[in-house]
Amino acid sequence: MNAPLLEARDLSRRYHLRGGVLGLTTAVVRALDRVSLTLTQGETLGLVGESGCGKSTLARLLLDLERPSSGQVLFQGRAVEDWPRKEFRRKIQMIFQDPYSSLNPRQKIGSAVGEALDIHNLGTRAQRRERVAELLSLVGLSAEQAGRYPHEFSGGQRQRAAIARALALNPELVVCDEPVSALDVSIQAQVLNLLRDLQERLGLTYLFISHNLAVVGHVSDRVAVMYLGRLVELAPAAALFQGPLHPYTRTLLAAAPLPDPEARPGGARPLGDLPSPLAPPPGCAFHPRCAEAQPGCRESAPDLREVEPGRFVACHLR
Amino acid sequence: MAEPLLSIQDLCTDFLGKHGPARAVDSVSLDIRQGETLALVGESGCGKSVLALSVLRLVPDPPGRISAGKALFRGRDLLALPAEEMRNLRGSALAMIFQEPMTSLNPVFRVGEQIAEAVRLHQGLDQGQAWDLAVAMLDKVGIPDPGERARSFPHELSGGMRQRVMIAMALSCDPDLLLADEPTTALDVTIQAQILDLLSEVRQRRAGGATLLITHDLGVVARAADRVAVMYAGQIIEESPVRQLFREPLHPYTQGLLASLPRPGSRERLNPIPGTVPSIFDLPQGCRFHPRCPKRFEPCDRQAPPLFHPDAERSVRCWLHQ
Repeated sequence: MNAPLLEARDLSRRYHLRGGVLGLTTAVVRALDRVSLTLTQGETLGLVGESGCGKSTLARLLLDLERPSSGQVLFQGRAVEDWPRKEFRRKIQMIFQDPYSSLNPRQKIGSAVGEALDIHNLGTRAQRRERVAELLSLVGLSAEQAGRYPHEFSGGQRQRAAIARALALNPELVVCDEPVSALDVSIQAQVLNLLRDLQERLGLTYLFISHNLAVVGHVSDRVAVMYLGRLVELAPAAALFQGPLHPYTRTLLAAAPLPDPEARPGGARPLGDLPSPLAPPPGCAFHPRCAEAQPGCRESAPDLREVEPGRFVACHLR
Repeated sequence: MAEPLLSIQDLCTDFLGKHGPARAVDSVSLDIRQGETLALVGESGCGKSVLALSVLRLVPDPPGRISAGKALFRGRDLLALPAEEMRNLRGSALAMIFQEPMTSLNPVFRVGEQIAEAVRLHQGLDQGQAWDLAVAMLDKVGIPDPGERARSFPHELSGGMRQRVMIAMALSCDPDLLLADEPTTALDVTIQAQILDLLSEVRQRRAGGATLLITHDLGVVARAADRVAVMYAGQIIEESPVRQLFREPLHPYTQGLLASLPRPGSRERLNPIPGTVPSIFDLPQGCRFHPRCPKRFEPCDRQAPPLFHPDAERSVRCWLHQ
């Protein structure tokens, strides 16, 4: 097995909510609780979970946009805080959900795509222009479109431009945060194919965050499932979808509507609402919604354990 | 067959743009039968929401205008009713659930008061009775501790709870026709499943009613609908019972939509529909889908196809099925 490209060790992130005239801490949110995972060069790791589960916090920590309360992130074997800023930023890039708000409406597409080249002082002006044209054609746009503004593009084209911008500095790792959620199905498929082609051509590694299980199941080699700040299951994608081990993963899969009227599911419905991350239930955070919960589940939180080679689950019953 | 609950006939809705008017809904005819859930699917901008708003006469005018057609509800044309009478029907016999409950609820009133207000207006109950009914409705839609929750403000509730409040409000006057516009799109999947179950329960309890479910999510369609109408660029391009639509889609656009869906476990390349949806301000000649259609042939770029009826239950707007 290759050395991991990126490694998260026991990452936790707590946010202190302050209130009152004295600004004292009134509550602590554990947005992320002892999460460990690795990303191998060239793979796609899917990250799924519902709102507030900590997906985006994890992404922010991996990108070093925020520091963990405890734990460590290693990139190519070296702690992220020890990397020179500029060099680190060139190696990891991000694609956001909403290309409408991640592109400056008053900046031409060509300039948006080439901005990173300017900041990092790469090449001459002519070389940069050439590189922008190359990037645009890489994502299926034309060089002539460099002179247009974001509003002249469709949603799918804008997301292509955002992808071109993320690739400008030849990153190793691209964090894709809900990259196709804002797109219509017919366009979504175009962008998913594009992401895969780019991965093959450029040897990219993806961390692919989405709430859409079908999309994650389609693009990922491995899938990590999060619930209220913790990793509850981590497995190869095919195995996870065929035989989910954690009751929460099962619930998620049963709840996701499949485009097949013959497969209308019965049973396995989650009970009640997501608990507030401000007051997570004691013990296993999923136990109030778990159909299989035992008395012991209320007592202690289960650790993530390897139950089969490559398959990890955090559940007392497995 | 029984008379449809709502019969939309040749409905046209125009919007005035910078370069003249454009037809957002183009001669749509659609029957919604008693007891059924009819799904209206299509991608953004295809006119599905405008169609629902037109039926309720809630299209902002200007820039929008219903320029032709009828919407017969139990035989009476909603589009020709006096404004007063229409207002009475809205919220009582006809109710709508919108996508984003946070923007449709009033942030400064308790949710119980907002439900009670609708009940007072339409059913002439007094304050106390209306409040009790509001609490009973919250209970019915599965909100725990409804007496307490009715006293909450919208921001104190989660997204799933707010959507349930919207549904409780829509159902409080026992509507015959429920128009639900992307009712689960903003919700997490586990909450979405609960809301879809709730809507189907309501449908079963209320024998003579019907639901028009507007969505872009074919998974939701497969789970919740009895029949499906597919819209593209302002027109209905296919109508079919749900099983047949997924088993044997007739229109190349519907086929394309189904083929572009990722399926978990399969890592095969997707087959997207090439190109993008045309703007209603700049529609192609002939069939509106022909520039993106892999099966286009001779008549497609010159002549717009009418709806053909391959069998009694299905219709399709495509020359291949002439």
